[in-house]
Amino acid sequence: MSHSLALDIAGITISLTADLDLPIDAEGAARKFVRDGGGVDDRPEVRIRAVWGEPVEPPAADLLFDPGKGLWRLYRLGRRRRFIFTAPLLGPLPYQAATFNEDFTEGEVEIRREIFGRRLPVYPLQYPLDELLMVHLLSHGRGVEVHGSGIVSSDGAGTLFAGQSGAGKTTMAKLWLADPDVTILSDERVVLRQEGDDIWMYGTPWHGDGRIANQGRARLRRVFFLRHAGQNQLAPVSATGSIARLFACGFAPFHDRGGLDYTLGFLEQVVKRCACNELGFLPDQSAVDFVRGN
Amino acid sequence: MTPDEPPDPGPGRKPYEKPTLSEVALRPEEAVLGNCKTMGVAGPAEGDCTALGGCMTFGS
Repeated sequence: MSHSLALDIAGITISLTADLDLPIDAEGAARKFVRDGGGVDDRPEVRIRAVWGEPVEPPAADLLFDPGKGLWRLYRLGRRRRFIFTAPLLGPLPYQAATFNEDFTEGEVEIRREIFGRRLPVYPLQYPLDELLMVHLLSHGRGVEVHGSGIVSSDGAGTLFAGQSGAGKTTMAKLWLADPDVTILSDERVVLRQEGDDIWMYGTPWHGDGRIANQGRARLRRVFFLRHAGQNQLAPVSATGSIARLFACGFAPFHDRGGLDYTLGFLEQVVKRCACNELGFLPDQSAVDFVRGN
Repeated sequence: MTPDEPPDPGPGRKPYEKPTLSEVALRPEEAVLGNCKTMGVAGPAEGDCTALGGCMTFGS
């Protein structure tokens, strides 16, 4: 079993290493995002070490953010940040904790042996830590993660179908499965990043009901804000409206003023560079033809 | 010009448009990774969902 692993998610290389008595591996859709060869990259953007530990909840006075529902909480540890993860069925003690430096490029994940010790290998970045890490990394000048299905047409142009739960992201993604010339990056979450004047859309491991999660990226050309409708129709959305809708579909660190400022500024760049419209659609092949024709 | 009519914007200027307020719904539980779409919880405690083996459907 391996004690090192490197992931490539949205162009960000994450190196994972662990003690000899802690075998690690990717799991689920994250396996598709393991770097070729699987080994640790020489110069990863992010370095994380996994260790066995007995993580405890820091003092309440250090709590920075609690999303509710008891799944995770974020604490300040001086300039560092510490995520605590609990699950109701595992009792009150954290099953995992992760401590990162200020820009989230170096971290340590403590894993409770009594819970994971008989279920080896362990994926140290199991959800939601992997996605929390990505959201915080992106908010430090790298991009934004958005609720949306992403497709790439044969000419390499990317189209984002953004929407909150129930808007039709997976439904729309599945409609494109029949087209062999189209690549579907995700049916649930994509990452947007800027390179020069271009916005790039990346696939992520965080799929929806359609379980579509693929490596790859494309220049983003169009954004459709999805809604179910009785007929296929487009409606223009103002620039400010588009920024607001993308923000509502995005992930931002609400406890971090700098991260929020960056996120809004980035979304403004997306809207400046991509055509944004609302798409009311029927859940059948006519929607694909309609999008192609517009 | 009546009091209700907007003034003539003059040549080359856009006519005045009254400000409007539109509301965009933010769903906190979706925006902060606070849930799992399938089970309502996340992590290794989930029965047939993650079960120490990977989340199958991430919270929207």
